[in-house]
Amino acid sequence: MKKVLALIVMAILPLTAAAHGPSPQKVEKEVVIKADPAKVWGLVKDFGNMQKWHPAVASTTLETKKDENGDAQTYRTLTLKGGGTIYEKLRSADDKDMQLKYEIISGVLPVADYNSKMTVKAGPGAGETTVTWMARFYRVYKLNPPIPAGQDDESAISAVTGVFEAGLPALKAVAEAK
Amino acid sequence: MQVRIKPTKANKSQQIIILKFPLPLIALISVTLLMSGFALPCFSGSAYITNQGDNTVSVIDTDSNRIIETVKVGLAPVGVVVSAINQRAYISNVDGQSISVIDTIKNQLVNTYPIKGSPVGLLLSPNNKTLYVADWTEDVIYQIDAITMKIQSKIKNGKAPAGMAISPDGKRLYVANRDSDDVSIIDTNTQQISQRISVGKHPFGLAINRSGSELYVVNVISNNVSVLNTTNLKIQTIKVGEHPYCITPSKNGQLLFVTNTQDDSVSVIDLAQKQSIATIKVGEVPEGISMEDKTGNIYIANWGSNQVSVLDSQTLKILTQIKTGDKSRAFGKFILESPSNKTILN
Repeated sequence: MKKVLALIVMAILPLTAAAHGPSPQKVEKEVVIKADPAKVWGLVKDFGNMQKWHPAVASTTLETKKDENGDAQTYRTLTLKGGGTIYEKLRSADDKDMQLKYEIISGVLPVADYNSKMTVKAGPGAGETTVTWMARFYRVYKLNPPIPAGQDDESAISAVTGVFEAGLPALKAVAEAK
Repeated sequence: MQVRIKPTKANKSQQIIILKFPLPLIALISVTLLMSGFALPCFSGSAYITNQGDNTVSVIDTDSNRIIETVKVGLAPVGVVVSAINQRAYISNVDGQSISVIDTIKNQLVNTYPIKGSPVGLLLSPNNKTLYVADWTEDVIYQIDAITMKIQSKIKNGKAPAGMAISPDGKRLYVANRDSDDVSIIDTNTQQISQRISVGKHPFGLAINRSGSELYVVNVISNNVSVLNTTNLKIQTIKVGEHPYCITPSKNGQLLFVTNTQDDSVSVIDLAQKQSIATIKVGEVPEGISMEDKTGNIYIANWGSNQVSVLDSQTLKILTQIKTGDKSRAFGKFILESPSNKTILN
């Protein structure tokens, strides 16, 4: 836990939305939960309440704003227990496919162009549910080496890995609790 | 009964020998082979799939849709272009800052050549003598001798050049400039930009039709495709899915297939209707897309799920999914047509 928080607050860096490093990076983690898929999906899709299951999140603030095309969009601000915030945009919450998609607009994670999806599926066993969390992102530093410390691929990957590895077991615990 | 020969390396060597004979002799050999109970072994193509995470290229036999070889290349390979004439596959290693060259007969690495900057897009001139390399961070197009791999010249370009296409006569080179939101048209004789055409936001993948009359530009942030009439330079815009990357026309040129990286799907555009007529679920985060000329099948490299999807361009059904390496990208025209097939058609 402390390691995760340390990773998250390690670098407070602006996100560069326009340009990015050469290669996109990926983190993908999975957890099997002994609970009904609908119950797990209920927790995952609740975009405004991530603090209910993620141990690094102290509180979540939800807001609706118009984007540049004039369409109403949902955003959340995650306030982290270790300090700092992450501002995210909901891309979609599909009840049929049980898939949540969101992206990071700005925040303390040392990543750029981060988009992520959480997919909930029944199985593998009866009464079990599998949650897959996948993110695609770039490192903060967009140019070729030398890369400043904390802005390289490894920093980005380990920060996201930390978030996922702390979150999924906690999601399992919350879903299996009641 | 016909016995099917698997495309072994030995058979591939035979194909090349056959290539050197005049057409009547090929016909005679074909008839002889058929009469002796063998199908011609020389019609299978190969797809060269770059795997960013493994630093490898998966070679797929497009007849069996199986991996026949995995070739180690430079760091984080992304771009690819293939040449039946040169018997080479060219690979851009964006983190390795280099170009790897693969011998497509042996499916072995020939050599890796350093490039200053971040090479991404690759293209060959129609005569296969010149390799164009788009350098993402240096904002130049390198013109390289495709045999000796010597850099011949550097063409200054717009910002973050990515996808490229070329007119059938080789005179006009089109470059998608991602961070300039335009396409530059380069006169390959003078090596100067003759025109810059504004398109959507973040143009990335490019393709051109067989006659060269239309250029297709994928706009990543705008979620659409610009269809550029290359004569009057007028543009029509067609909406596709989320965060599209790459595009290929169908064999008959009537459809366009576009990978939507954030929808895990491919949009099918009918060019007559100028709109998307279907959306097909593929693997996760589809990037590179190419058409196999014999069957017209569409091959899609899925970065997120480490596989290639094969799509029937007529039924619009997924035929198979082929496991490749980590983070498959295959940015460019990655399917090598059968050399003998091409010779006979010509």
